[in-house]
Amino acid sequence: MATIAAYFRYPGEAAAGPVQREYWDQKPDPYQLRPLPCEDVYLYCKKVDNSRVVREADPAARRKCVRAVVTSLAAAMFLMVLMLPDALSMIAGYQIHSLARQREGLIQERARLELEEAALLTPRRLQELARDLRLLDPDSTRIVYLSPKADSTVALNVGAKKRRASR
Amino acid sequence: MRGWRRDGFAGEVHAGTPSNRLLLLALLGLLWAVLILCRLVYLQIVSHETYSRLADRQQQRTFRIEASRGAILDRSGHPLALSVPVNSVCVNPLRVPDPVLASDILARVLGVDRQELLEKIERAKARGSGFLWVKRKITPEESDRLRSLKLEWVEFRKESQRHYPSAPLASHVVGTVDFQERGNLGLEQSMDEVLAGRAGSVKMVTDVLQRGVEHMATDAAEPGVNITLTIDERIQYVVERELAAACERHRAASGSVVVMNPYEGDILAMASWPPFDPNEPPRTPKDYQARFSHPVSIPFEPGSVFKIITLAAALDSTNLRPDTLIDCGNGTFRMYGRVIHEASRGYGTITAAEVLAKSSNIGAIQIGLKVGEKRLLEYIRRFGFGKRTGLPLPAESPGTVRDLKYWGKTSIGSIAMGHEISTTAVQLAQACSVIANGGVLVKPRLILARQKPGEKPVAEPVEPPRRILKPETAITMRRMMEGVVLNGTGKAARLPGYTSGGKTGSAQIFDRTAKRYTHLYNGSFVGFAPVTNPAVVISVTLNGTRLYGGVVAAPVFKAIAMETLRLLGVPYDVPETAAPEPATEEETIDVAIASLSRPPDDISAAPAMPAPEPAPETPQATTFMLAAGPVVPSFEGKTVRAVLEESFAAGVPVEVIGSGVARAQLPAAGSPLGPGERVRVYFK
Repeated sequence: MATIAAYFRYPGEAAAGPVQREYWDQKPDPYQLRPLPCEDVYLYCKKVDNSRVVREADPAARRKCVRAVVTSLAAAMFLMVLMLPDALSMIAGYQIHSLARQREGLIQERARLELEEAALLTPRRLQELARDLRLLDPDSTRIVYLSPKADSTVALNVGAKKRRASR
Repeated sequence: MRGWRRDGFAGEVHAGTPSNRLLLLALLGLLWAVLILCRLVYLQIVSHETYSRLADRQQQRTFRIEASRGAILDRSGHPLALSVPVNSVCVNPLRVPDPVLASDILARVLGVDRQELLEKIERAKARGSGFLWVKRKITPEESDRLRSLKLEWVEFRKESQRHYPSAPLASHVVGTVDFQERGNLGLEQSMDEVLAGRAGSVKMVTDVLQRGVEHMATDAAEPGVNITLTIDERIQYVVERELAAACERHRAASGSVVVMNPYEGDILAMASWPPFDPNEPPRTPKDYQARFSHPVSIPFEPGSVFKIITLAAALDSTNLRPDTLIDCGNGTFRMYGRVIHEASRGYGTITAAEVLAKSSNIGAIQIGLKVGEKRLLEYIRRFGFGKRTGLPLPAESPGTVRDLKYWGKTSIGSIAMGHEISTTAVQLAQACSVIANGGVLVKPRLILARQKPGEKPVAEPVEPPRRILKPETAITMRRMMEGVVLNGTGKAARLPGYTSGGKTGSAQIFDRTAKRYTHLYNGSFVGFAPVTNPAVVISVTLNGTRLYGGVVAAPVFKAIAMETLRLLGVPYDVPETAAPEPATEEETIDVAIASLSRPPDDISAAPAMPAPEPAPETPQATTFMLAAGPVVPSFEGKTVRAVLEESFAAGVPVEVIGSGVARAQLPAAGSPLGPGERVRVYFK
C-alpha cells in the first residue's frame, strides 16, 4: 500500500522503540530528505466487505430525492417555458428576414420585367415590327365610326347587351 | 477523520467544530455573493449606459430603406420613366484579408480596373476607413456571380436605377435624374419631391453573420407617387417623328410642336428638336443644348401667327366683320417715317378675312390701329401672353410683352403682325385653343392624375376656364382661319377628310452679331381640326429655316393632325378628296416684315410686363365646364332662327332637319358634344 510511511520506508509499529529512537537520534544525513511535518501520522485503509450488507429502506430519503428531481425538472421546464417565446421569436425573425429578402428579390424581378415589357412595347419598335410584317393603316373606307345614341351610349354592343338582358 | 501518531496518540487531527467550519464557509459564500452583487450593481446600474450602448452597437443595426421613385406614365398607363432596384457593391477595407487577392477577384467579376481598385483598398485601409464603394449599380448577372463566391467581406447595398424605356420619346417633358436619382430636368426636376418619396429605416437585432433576427423599430419608407401625364405616347411618337423629319429636311436649328386638347387643356404631345437620350448623361456642349425645352423655355417672335390675336381683338371689340373692307394699298405703308412693305405684292382693297388668309402685313397694321394700343395690349394679356402658363416644368418662359409706356410709335404696327413681342409654342397653342373652344382660356396641363402605390389614382384638379372672347367672335375666327387653309397661305395644312383652320407665320430672326434682321425665319403654323368642333390644337414652329411657315410648318401640322385625329377616333367631317394642288411660293409668303420693328435687344432692355392679375370669374365661366366638348343646349320649342342664333353663340354646330318648331334633338340637351360632331335638330 502506498502510504506516506511506506514511501519513506518507515518501519512501522512493530519496529517502534530502538529503531525509532535510532532514527531520531542519528545525525542528520545531508543527503536524506528531512521529515515532513506530521510524518509520524500515517493512514491505512481497512478492508471492509459490504457485499452482504443490505441497504435499509429509507422512504423519507427517497421522497426527498424524488422531490428534488421533480423540482429540478419543473424548474427546467419553467425556464424552458420562459425562454420559449424568445426562441420562437428568434426563429420567426430569421424566417421574416428570409421572406423579406425573397420579397425584395421578387419586387426587383417584377420591376425588371416591367421595364422589359415597356421596352418591347415602344411605338418605335411596334412600327418597325409593323413595317417588317408589311402591315398597313386601314383604308378610310374600312373605318366605321360609331354614331352616338340618344341615351348617350356610344358602343353599339351596349344596346345589344341590354336587349339580351331584357329578353 | 481519525489519525494515529507514532507516539500512539489517536484523536481529532484538526482543530475546530463542524459548525465553525460551516459558518466560515457561509461567510466566504456570502462575501463572494456580495462581491458579485457589487459587480452586478456596478455593471448594470452604474455603467448601464456605457455597456448598453456597447451591446446595442454590437447587436443592433439600422438599415436604410430606400423609397422607390414613382413612375411617370403616359395617359394610357405606358411607362415613360421607371426605377428598377439594383445592387451596389462595397467592402470594409479593414476586413479585407488580402487586398491583392480581393482586388483580383472583384476586378474579374465586376470588370473594374484591378490596379485602381487595389490602390483604393490600400489607401482606405491606411487611413482606417471602414467603407469603400467597389462598383455601384451592377447588373443582375454581376450580382449573381459575386454572391455565388460567398465572400464574407463583400457587402451589397440596394440602390435604384432610373430607366426611360421609350427614350428619347417625350424626353424634354419627362426630364432626367442625376446619379443619386435627383431630378435635374423636366418633370423629374419640378416634381422631384413627389416622385422621390421618403426613405425609411429599420432597426434590427442581428446575429454574428449580420442576419436580421428581430425588428426593433421600423420607420416605413413612403414610396414615390406615380404620375400619369396627359401625354399620349402614340401621338408623341408621331409628333417627334414628323418634327425630326421636317427639321432635317429644312435644316432648321431647332423646332417645337405642341398638341393640345382645346377644351380641357390637356397637352397630348410636346416635342422639342434636337432630341436627346435621357438614359445617357450629357458629354458635349451640344448635348447640353439639346436639353433645352423649346416649346416651354425658348420664346421667339411669332410673326404672322400673331395676326389671329389682332383680328380676334378687332372682331371682339370693334365693328370689324370678316367682310369689312381694308385698304392695303399698293403694298407699301408709311408709318411715322418708316415704310413697311407687304411680303409679296400689294393686295389693294380686301376683306378682313382675306387679310388673314393672305397674311397682309399692311392689313394687320390697319386693323391693329383700329383696335388701339391699349385694347390690343389688353387682349394680348387676356390670351395669356407675357405670363407663364403654369405647366409644371422648370424654366418656363413667360415670353416678352412690354407695358404700354415702353411701346414706341410704331410698336402697334409691329405687334399687330407679331414682332416686338415674344411667345413660346405653348402660349401660342393656348391662345389658339381659345378660338377653337369657343372663347374660353384654358390652362394647359401635363399631369392627369397622381397615384400613391396601392391606392387609387387621384385626378388632378382642373382650373375652371375663363371666358375672354365672345363665342361668336371665336366661331367667326374659326371660319376665317379655315379660309387661311382653304384659300390662303396655309394650303399645305389642308386635311383630306377633315376641315381644318390655322394661321401660318414667318418671323425674321434677328442676328445679334450683325445687329440686323436676317432672311432666316421662325416658320410657324398654329391650327386646329376639325373646324366645327375642334378635337386638337397644334402649334408647329421650326426655327432658322430659309422657307416660310406655310411651306415648312403647315405640312408638319397636316401629318400630325391626320394621325392624331385617327388615333382619337374623330370621324371625317368632309368627303375625303384628293390633296389640293401645291401652293405657289407667292401664295405661301407670309413674312412679317421686321423693318418696322425695334430689334429684340431694345425690347429686352425694356422691363417685361408684370403678370396681370387673373380676371374675376364670370358666372358663364363657372358653368362652362368642359368634359369633352361644348355642352349641348336645349333647343326644344324654339324656331329655326332662334336655334341658329343660340347655337352660334354657344359655338355648337347644328344640322337643321325640317321646318317649324324644334321637337327633338340629338344628342340630348346637357350632354357634351364630341369632336367633329354636330347637333341634329328636328323641326316639325
